[in-house]
Amino acid sequence: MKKFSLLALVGVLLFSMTAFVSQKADGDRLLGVWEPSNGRARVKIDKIGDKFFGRIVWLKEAKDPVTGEPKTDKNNPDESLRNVPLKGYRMLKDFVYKGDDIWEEGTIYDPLNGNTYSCTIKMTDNNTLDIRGYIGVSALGRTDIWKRLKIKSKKKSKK
Amino acid sequence: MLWALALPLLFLSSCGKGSKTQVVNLNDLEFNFEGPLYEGPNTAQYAWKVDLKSLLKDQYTEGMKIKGAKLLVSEISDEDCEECYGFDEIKSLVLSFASNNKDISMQELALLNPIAADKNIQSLNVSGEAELTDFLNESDVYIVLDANVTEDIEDNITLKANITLELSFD
Repeated sequence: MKKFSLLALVGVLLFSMTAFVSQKADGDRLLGVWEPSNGRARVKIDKIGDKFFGRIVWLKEAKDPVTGEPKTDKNNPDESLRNVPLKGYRMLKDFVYKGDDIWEEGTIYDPLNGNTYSCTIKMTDNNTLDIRGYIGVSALGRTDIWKRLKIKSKKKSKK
Repeated sequence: MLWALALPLLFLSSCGKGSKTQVVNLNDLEFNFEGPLYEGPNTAQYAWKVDLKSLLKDQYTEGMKIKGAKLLVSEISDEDCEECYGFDEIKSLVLSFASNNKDISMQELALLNPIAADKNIQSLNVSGEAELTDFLNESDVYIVLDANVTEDIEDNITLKANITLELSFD
């Protein structure tokens, strides 16, 4: 009887560990380069610690039409950070994988107005994300559909 | 009448023991940008185990909490590392703190854009509004360095950071 209990306990522990590792791996499906529906930017999602973050890696209009210089985060509420280049800006922050293809607890930053919104990400299939930004409650928000980009690997050595 | 008694008590509590401050340095934090690196933004992170005891030394007391923390200086260098590329391949640098705690959001702390390509040590402009206190009460903090590189690079780039913080505590 004791032997059976011990085996059952080991079984439960192994199952829990497998489920935990599998959930972590599922969360990593978010990693990659994604394009919002307007096609004006591309965002690379990567992981820092246990959370997910997304940086702008490509902009359709990378330069400020007035100055001709690369765009910076000129609407940032923190004046001292308005010179941060928009290309490279981390607009998705602090997402935690909750299971069932949903990442929550994060924020999305809109560089057009300098506002930060609460945000939820739902992966509807392996190449499609529903990105919902909202203020306060999720019902009062807007959803955008992002598509995964297939990136071809290219290498160039330093001369 | 009760107000007359309460006021001096209120005054005494607000004039109680003041906070102490200490400046601490985190030196030679290594950031390895693993190649291949593509033109544009690339990220490296340093996992920092916050150890208040070793930071504050004799000022440390068991169970203490940091009441205030701000970044004073952030310098990034390419000295003393092998196969360094230097800053001629980098356009800008941004330094941030992040944590696994879901209640603590990532904070951008300092930036330099454009960098001074002829210098081996880059002194980043520190944000006046960045709030670091919550990070200092965590056991693990991720210090994140974003480097905007000018062209595709097959190899790694290693940079080092020296960070100076001012900590306040009771």
